[in-house]
Amino acid sequence: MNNYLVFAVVAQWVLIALLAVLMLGLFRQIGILHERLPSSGALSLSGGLRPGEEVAAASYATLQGQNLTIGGASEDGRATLLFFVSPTCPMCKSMLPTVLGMANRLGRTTRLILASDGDVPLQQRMVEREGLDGYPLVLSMELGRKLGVAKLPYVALIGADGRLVAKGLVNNREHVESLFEAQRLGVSSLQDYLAQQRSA
Amino acid sequence: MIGPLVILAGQLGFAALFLASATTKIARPRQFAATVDSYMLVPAPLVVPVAVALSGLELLLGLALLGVLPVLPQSGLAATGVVLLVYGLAMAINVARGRTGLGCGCSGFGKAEAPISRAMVARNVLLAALAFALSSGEAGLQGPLWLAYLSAAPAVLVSLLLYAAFSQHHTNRALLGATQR
Repeated sequence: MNNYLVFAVVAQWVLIALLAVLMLGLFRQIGILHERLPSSGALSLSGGLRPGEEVAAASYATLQGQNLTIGGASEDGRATLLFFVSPTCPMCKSMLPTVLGMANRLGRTTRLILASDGDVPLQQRMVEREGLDGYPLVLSMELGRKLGVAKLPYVALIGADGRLVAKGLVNNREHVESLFEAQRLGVSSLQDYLAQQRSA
Repeated sequence: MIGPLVILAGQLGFAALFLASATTKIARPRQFAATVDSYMLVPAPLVVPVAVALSGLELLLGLALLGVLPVLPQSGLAATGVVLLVYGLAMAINVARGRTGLGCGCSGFGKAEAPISRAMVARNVLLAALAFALSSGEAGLQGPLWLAYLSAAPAVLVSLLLYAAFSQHHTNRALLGATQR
């Protein structure tokens, strides 16, 4: 019996030691991956106002019949998150829960405005279908042009001071969050941030 | 009595290695023949016979180490060491030639065929050294055979898992090298 026990104990110490070495190597590889794999950010396309520039205040009519001011210093000190969608854009539909959820969480500091343009009946059907009654929907081609919205779904973040913080094409939560990260870090886009890191 | 149990564990471990390797080669004979050919150590007409011989040798060695064939454990382990050294030499020659794109022709423990490298040659040398060290021991198992196998089996299983894990870690290093610094 004793011999079996001695064998078991010695074998286990050897294997535990090897396990520890393996874990060291594993964690090191995870660390390297973490450093080297950049997070994904909203795809910043060129065109329209550039981040840092002031968005001139303008009044827009919403589908619900109100008038909203977008641009210029905000009245209630909140930033404005513009979410450009379209009734015929399936990706926009899948992004809705994410963006609405974020807006609800950030309601104190950021107001959400949906933006689109085109066929009013189609827009109304979209609002009904997706349950967007509680959110202002602005229909304006001019707003889209001003911000250089070429592809959807598109998000633009305008600071409380009326300056464009960041904008870009979004396909997932991480992309949208990157805009708020940009606000926090004082850069205009992930591409910008990475470029700064590399030259530093 | 520690010695014999360690030897048994070594036998079973190497047996698993060779049987896995042999079954892979026998299941894909053309692929293995191509591997042998790629090493450029055997004249063309002998490639297929050598491939067949190696597959058969690994199978027999695996069975011998398991205790299925009437071969002494020490002899089986010594033969294991020799085979590992010969494979290591074949790899070393090609690494020296700079031909590191070759697959190692190893067992199916990893998913991808690992390319040969100095580390691989070192691994073979180490394993061969282990086999030779074990072959010089006293294999007189005392007590019931089932208890001996029961004691050795977990050690063998965990060792094989660790072996696979280290192999994967080694493969990852090459993949990490491809990412941007």
